[in-house]
Amino acid sequence: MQTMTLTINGTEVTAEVDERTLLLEFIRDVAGYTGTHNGCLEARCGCCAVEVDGDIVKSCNVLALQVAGRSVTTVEGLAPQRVAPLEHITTQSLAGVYRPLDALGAQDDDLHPLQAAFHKCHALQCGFCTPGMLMVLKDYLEDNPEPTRDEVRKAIGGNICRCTGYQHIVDAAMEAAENMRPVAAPAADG
Amino acid sequence: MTETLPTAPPTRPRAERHAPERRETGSGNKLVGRSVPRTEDLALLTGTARFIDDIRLPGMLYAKILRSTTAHARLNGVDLSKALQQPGVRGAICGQDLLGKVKPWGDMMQDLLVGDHFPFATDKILYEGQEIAAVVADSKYAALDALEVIEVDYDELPVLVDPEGALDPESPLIQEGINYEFGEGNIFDRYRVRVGDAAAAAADADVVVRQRFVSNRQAGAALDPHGCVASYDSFTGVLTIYSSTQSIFMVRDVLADTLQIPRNRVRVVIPEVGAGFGSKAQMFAHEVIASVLSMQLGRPVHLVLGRGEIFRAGTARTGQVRYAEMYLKRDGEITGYRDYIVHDCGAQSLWGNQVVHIGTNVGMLPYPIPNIHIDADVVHTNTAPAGPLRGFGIPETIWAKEQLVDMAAERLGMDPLDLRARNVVQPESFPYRTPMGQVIDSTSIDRCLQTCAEAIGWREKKARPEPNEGVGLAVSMKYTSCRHPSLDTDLSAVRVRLETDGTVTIFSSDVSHGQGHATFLAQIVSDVLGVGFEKVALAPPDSATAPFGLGTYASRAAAVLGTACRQAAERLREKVVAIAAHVLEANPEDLDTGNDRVHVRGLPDTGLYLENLAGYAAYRTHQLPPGFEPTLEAVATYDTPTEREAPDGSGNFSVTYSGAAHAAHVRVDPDTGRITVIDYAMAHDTGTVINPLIVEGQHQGGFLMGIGMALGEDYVYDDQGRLLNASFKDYQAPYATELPELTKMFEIPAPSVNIPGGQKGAGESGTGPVPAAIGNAVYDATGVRFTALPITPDRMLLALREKERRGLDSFRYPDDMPDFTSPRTPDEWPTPTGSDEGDLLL
Amino acid sequence: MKPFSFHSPRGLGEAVDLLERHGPGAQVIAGGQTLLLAMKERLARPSALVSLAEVADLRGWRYTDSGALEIGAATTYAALAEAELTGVPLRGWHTEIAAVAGDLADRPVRTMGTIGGALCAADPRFDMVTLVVALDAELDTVGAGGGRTIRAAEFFDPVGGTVLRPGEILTTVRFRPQDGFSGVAFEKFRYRVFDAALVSAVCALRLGADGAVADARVTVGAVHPAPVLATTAADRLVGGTPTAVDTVEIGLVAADEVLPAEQATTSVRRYQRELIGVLVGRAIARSHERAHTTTAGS
Repeated sequence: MQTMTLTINGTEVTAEVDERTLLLEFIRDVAGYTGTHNGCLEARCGCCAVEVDGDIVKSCNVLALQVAGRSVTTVEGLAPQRVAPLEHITTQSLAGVYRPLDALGAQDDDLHPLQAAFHKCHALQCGFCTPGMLMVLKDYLEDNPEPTRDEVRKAIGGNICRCTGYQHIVDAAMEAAENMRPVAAPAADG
Repeated sequence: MTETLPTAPPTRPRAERHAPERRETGSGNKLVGRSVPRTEDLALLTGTARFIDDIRLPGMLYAKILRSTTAHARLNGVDLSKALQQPGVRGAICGQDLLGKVKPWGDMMQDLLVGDHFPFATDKILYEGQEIAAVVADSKYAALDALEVIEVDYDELPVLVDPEGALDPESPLIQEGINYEFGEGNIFDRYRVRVGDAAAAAADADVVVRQRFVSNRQAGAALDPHGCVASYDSFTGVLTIYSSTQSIFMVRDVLADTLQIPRNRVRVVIPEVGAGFGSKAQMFAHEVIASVLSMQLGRPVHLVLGRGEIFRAGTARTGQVRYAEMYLKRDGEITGYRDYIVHDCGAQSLWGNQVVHIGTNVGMLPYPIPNIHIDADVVHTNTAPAGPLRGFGIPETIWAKEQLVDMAAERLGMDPLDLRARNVVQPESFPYRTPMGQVIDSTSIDRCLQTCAEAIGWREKKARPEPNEGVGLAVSMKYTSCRHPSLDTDLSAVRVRLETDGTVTIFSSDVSHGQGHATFLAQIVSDVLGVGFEKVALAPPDSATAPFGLGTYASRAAAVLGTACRQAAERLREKVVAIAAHVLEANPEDLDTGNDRVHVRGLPDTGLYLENLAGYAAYRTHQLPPGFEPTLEAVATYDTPTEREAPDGSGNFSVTYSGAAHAAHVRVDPDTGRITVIDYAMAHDTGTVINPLIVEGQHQGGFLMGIGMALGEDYVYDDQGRLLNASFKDYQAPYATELPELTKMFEIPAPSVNIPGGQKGAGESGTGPVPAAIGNAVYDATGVRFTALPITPDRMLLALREKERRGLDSFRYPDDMPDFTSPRTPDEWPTPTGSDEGDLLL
Repeated sequence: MKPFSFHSPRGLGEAVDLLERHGPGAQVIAGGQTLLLAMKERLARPSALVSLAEVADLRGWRYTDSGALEIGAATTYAALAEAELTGVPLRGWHTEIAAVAGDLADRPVRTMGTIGGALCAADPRFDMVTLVVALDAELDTVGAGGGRTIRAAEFFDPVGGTVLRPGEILTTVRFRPQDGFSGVAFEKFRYRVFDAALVSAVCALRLGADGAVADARVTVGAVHPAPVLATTAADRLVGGTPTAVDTVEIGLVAADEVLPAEQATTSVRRYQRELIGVLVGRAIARSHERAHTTTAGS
């Protein structure tokens, strides 16, 4: 057993773990973020993809100890639960809270643009592969803000989806890419 | 709901997001027909949805299964003593421990006298991956460590992999001690169709085309693993089981029967289910094992399978060898079809024999063929258990039949498009009963066919072919629900409750696992009841609260579940209207619902809110009409007006039929054999579409399964029955890079007459025609007629080289390869083992 | 996985000491992308893992004074793939190394997977295994007994695996300076983009002053337990001019050499034999083109 620390979605988690603990297991079983899924345990399906210090990995094929001390982002880190929301969902506000038709992703405190685009484009059916797809695409689109559809397909070339036929996922990625592209900011440092 | 949001001002960097334009709009203010984004998405997108592996119960232990590494053996003994000594181990069991304590299952679905399924192998191992023993421990690692020290004593037996080998009475007998009503040896069931006079049609035919076709085993490979968490309370006798399944009550009833405990003491709770495609439409051994361990230990037991276990012991598509013939007249009329099918169900199978019935009957569509003669021998082999998989036998039938159509077109000198157009069912009046017995209540299959052909550029491409490129067509009509020969029911049920604040809860036991039930049922309820869409929620499926229903399979959700939901909502509507009429002292006929209220017709801003009406029914019952039963719940069960299979094999098994016409355009690399689908067009008749975006997604997903079956997915066995590709590394599940852009999609609705809302099933239309369309396109491109699936690059290239070497214009793979050993020509074909005597049905 | 101890040394010396101390059950882990798969299947059962993650001098690359390219063994594919964006961009035919690194497995695997890890795993279907042999790289190792340099072709045992001794660590992969070759092309065939190669082929050429091929290496990977040099095919290239070469014919020579018809008895083998011809032909054509472009440009 070894004691180790990971920062997961901004929160430090320290635990004594069996050396065999995979990063996936640390995230799910130690830290309790079950949005990262185990679909094959052989680094083939991509359901377990997370970012470590901003780089995408398949957490089923990394030992937690290999990345000890580093910072992990999971799907729960894309649009964190609002802590103590001022306004709870009430019967009267239901219509306002559920406004997925157009508005999601259009405001700062909403879903990540990829999540919003997945929702709008029906890029998920059973939703099991979705967290991995989101994380891989986030990592990719931050590096390549203006991809072609073929490049998007290659970027998710290690993620299996058995439901969608990928078409709507590629649609969503293209749409999210547009919304993720930073506005041409005035040059700050020449 | 038609305006779009203005684009946010560009000065706010994070807000520089494009306001999404909407895809579809419905008519009026009804939601049915609109692409309402799904309510289930938010939890799935943010990681809060809980799948089976996410369930954590206090005191939970972890179980793992030891599986056989051999495909056929006499099992002499299993020694668990060392495993029980391992640190952290709480228990271990094997087959001998359960003999006489749990009841074998599988009798109900297969029409067997006794079940042929048991949680573990007891005296015989039937396939690689069969359950031998299980260990339950404090952690997964402790359980896995303990599995390694279990000693298994067995003697290997000769292995049977080839389904046609099972026809030999001398072949090694797999299932011993089971009585089969219609079979013997490794042939455990038979099936036949006798419609019209196929022999006369053959004699009268101007053209006869014949070919042996083989179709592959395919895995559902749903990413969310099969698994369960069982928790038994010895004081109350209640077994609660969380399971990743498509059917609550099939699990509950079979599990209770197996464990011999009362059915109301088994509670099946369904977490999010990460897809199934048919592979989770039954109870599995692991559900019994976890339950038994929990009953023994009094603690919750987690048992989730690994990917290799799912490949080996989850169910896979049935394999088929078909000796198929088609008879035609000179003008292109299809007058007859004859087939002998060897249908491979693996070592054991709950649903496998049903596949050949349904898949063959419905697979005859969209042609109303007058003379049909089919025999099938349904066999066991030492391979993975077979079961339902997207298409349920239809892709297999279409693969053979739609290639015969192209072969006939070539012989007749007709365009394959014209030959199909000549034959697809287009009756002068509906309903129309085909000779096979299907009752067609509506169809647009002829327009689907023309539309997809036009979209792919059929005429131009046939007129000016490019080297190494080709186009192919295939059409099918898919059942929308199903009355199985052995399971004489086709029902779904829904209960709706108007809550006291005017929101609505829907209860159903048909598990949504990607189909968007929460969304499309809410669309229906919203329209019927006039309640806001956002106020309608679907309760999590739970056998303790949901009405009895069969489950989510056979593309039945929209039509059967949707109809039950519509009827329940209509009953609820009658109730609220009755209360409102009483309170308003109005005539119920003068009232309407809408905008969350019951109002006087034509005056939508008047009337009483549903919230108030529900309040009367719950808290102010003196406001109710005299004799009105308080509370606002309504339940409806819809059993389709379908038929059981007739003794001649005919019958109308489905309440309506969804049309699918596909056109493929492929390119073959003559150097590497790589087959690229460069364009694909699909035209479907899904009746009245409730949610176009969901239906589009279903078709695209169906296509993925079809392309996997056509071009790569297969169970590859060695001659000892070892599955060589039981991992995503080796199993050729398509990635995004292997699929074409699917933009040429057309919906040509012919609303169902039998279904009140007009909808038809969407789930499997995208799959059926794909292998045949690709096969026909590959032939067009290369002159190589593939008679076996899948069409892999290696097979393609070797076929091309052999064809080149022999200087042939057309070539069959593998039949014309030098090393092919199965029957090549019709005079070598085997005859069915059954006779024409006797009644195959009860 | 079986239980093991895990160690993260800060330097190479410490790593060597740890491996020696923990004996034959100890194993090096770099990215772990191959090793962990084997451990999860319980096919590899190390008693101790020595991680190279914290050993900084094993990552990155540099050009030596003589122009040779030295790549640290623990350099990830992802880093190599993005070499052009770094302060030490790869030059000339060395860019083919980055191109190969960027076109194998998928992005998440490339984040963790390292060049040295792939070479030590010695899976013949791995692109880097074929590439280092094809480009006649030199591999530096250290162990308790000191260091040594091994030519790539000798690093892989023809029957599978490597010649690394227990406790020995691969530290550096060294490629020839630019003038070592004029054009290099790597070709492979895989079923799906994510799959390992079914056949890979590399052609590396050096042109003489007259524009004719002075030197050629043709290498075929994924077919045998270690990459195979097709010397007859390579010899056929020498003395010719890029445009005059019949690539198809020499591809077939390579196929005869690497996987003769009589050995290609199964359908997979027959298919591989066909692919060798095609891929070697494509590699020759593309390397010629590149050599020609390079020569013309210089």
